[in-house]
Amino acid sequence: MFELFGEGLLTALQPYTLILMLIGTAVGIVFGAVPGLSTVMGLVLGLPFTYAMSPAVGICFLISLYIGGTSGGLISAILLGIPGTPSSIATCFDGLPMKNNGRVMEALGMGVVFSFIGTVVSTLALIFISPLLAKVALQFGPHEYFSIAIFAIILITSLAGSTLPKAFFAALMGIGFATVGLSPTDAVKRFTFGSPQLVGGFNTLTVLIGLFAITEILLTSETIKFSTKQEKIEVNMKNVKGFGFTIKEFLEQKWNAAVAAVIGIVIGIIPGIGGSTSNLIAYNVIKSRSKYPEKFGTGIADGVVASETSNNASVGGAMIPLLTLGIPGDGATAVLLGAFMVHGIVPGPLLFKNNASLVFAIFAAMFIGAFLMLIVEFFGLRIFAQVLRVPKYILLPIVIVFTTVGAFALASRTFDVIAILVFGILGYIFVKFKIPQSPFIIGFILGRMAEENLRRGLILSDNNILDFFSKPIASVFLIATILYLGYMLLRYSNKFMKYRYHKY
Amino acid sequence: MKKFEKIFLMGLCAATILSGCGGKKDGGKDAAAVWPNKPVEVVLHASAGGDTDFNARTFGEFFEKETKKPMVVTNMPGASGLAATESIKGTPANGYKALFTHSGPLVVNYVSGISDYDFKEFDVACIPAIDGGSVLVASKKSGITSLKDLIEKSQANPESIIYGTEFGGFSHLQVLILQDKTGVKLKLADIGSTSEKVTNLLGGRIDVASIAYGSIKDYVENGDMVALAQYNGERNPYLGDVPTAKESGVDMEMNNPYIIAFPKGTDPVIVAKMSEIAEKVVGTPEYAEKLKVGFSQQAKVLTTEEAKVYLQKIEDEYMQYKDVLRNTTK
Repeated sequence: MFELFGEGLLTALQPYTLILMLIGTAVGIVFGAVPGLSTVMGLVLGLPFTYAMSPAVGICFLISLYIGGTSGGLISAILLGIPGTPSSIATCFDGLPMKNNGRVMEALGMGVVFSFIGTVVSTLALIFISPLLAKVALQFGPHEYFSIAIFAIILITSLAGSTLPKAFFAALMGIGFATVGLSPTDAVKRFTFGSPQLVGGFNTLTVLIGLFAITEILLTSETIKFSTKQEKIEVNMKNVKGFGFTIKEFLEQKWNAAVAAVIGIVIGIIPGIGGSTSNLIAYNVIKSRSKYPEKFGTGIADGVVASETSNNASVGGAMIPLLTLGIPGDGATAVLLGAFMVHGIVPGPLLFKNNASLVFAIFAAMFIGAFLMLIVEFFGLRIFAQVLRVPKYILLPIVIVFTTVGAFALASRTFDVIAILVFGILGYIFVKFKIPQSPFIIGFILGRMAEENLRRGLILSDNNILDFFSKPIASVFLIATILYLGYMLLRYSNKFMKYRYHKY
Repeated sequence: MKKFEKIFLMGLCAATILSGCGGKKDGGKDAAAVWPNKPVEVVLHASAGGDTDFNARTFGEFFEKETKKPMVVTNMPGASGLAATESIKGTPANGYKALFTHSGPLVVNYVSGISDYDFKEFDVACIPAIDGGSVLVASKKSGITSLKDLIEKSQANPESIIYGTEFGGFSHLQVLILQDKTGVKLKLADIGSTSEKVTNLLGGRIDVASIAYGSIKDYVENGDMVALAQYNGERNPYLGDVPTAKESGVDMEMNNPYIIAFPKGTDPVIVAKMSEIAEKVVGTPEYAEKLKVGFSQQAKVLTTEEAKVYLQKIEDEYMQYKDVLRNTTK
């Protein structure tokens, strides 16, 4: 085994491959960092370039792009409060406050290092226990997908930190927007108003860009005229050594990182959900386990660690079903699958047997990619922080340009550009009414998965809903959901009762 | 700032005025004679990485070799293919933007009612490739060993064997035709596309499905799945030892043609040229080799008239199943 790993390492360490991987990492980070461009987009653009390369080199290049892209999102999340990719949504929640409190280097540093850790841990899982973990992927059928989707929606909604009714409203709105288009299974047109564009429904990325980027721009434009002196956030560079935080602070996060990594790996393994879901779930799980949940959202490292560890852990997690079963774990690995197939290699149970050297080259590439990301971002950290020196009235218009181009680039339609405006205005209204955004986004992302799998599960179970409780994994999540919901409602009604009592 | 604003405004005016220039006018006969004299864009209904994308890009590579002009691929997935078809429907018919898709969006969608129009809404140029890689597979758990075995077990116990598919899609039609030709009834479940079919077969939640050979090759080799039949009329040599449906006594032949279609009203000379280029490309040995390695495809081509006849033929055949296809979940 070790000789093969050595061989793989050698392949990946060829100067040509290394240079390509460095380019891939850098390009990936850029795509991840710029709101409007995403990791999947970067991979799709990079894919044709790999057709001319040998399979190992091409795939190593794409992997470094994937890792760079997943981690790159933290940069704009922390600096601008706008997630660069859906995988860094939760990073904004504490990353932005940290920046506002003058701890931007610490936030960036934590994000980068824990992205690295997430990647490495999940790669180790990929190498040593992937056959076992692949079996997990196989246990997930329609019943299980429905249950986990509902559980995730309820979990994130109840922890949204705002009043429960508002959070539920947001979640239901998110699910509502997800219904626009063709219904699952029987393709009935819903909310399409005769427009062929609406038949396709809304794209997650347009919702993300609108809700975060455009909303942020609208909010800033309210006050920008009155801030004659640009708020120069003191970027305290003097005492920043290395990554901006101490070893003590690093070790304090070890359990958060461990939990987040596990969540990231498991969600990555489940085909169809990946970093975009795991960062939100990890954030909320760690918040609920924390000794100081009220501090989440005010700017603590735990939040950034949770989000960034899990989203990068999902990278390794998503590679597991890809390499062992030939089934992509998320949108990005679906593009990787295409890269494999074009070279005539079909990943699957026999990949290890027939193409062991390629597999090990991939393992090596994941480690190398993680290191490259660490190195590039380390040198970039101080440069990224300089972005804060750029006045907002120059920075945000640039963001508008990129997000508009990015939205259009999704499917070459102006419809998507209009969509980001719509969601931007919606997000603005949400903020004004203090309605939280994360339940909306998770409702949108997982709403369709929940409905589709509920219907598929019912077809398989001959319309017997109780059958959901006969499946172990599904019933665990469903019961957990019911219990959690019950507990939340009880607490809310208690608070509500106390308030009313004290009023009189 | 006043100076800056003035300059900016002037620049904006200049840009607006200049944007009015440069529109290419179709020069009629001359345009057709020199086609292609700039890159040709093809719009796909599928995203990057799949079989349609692969076919388009491979075709594009050899298109460029023939014409010295590149073929640019734009992916426009969404709405089961409607995003792409709608886009081409509304585009100027100047020969520089075409649809590269398969019979799913242009025939099956019409039959299942997702689309109000079929391939006749466009000027079909040719069929540059045919996917003959779909294979009927059974999970090991199901205990089904051959197509005949499937038929026997189904007759003994109707609707006991679960076939996983995407309602309204190509594999759904496949099973409706199969059921019709063999007289058996399977239990149909909406399960999703290739990934979901594979996961659920391996997980034992469905028994059979129709999947591209490339995606299940390894499973057939290591025994987790059994390949029951291929839907081609004659054996596709790249599919290993899988008998055709006909060999097992089922008179069924079905495959998925890829289609290049221009917006309606395109100059017939351009349409014919595309068809000729396709013939040349398909005749190239390197192209055939790439198709074989990538998706176990044999290189095939149908020219303009042949393509239209073929598409009408399969549409007529599929239309028989229109009501069943549309009503399955009711």
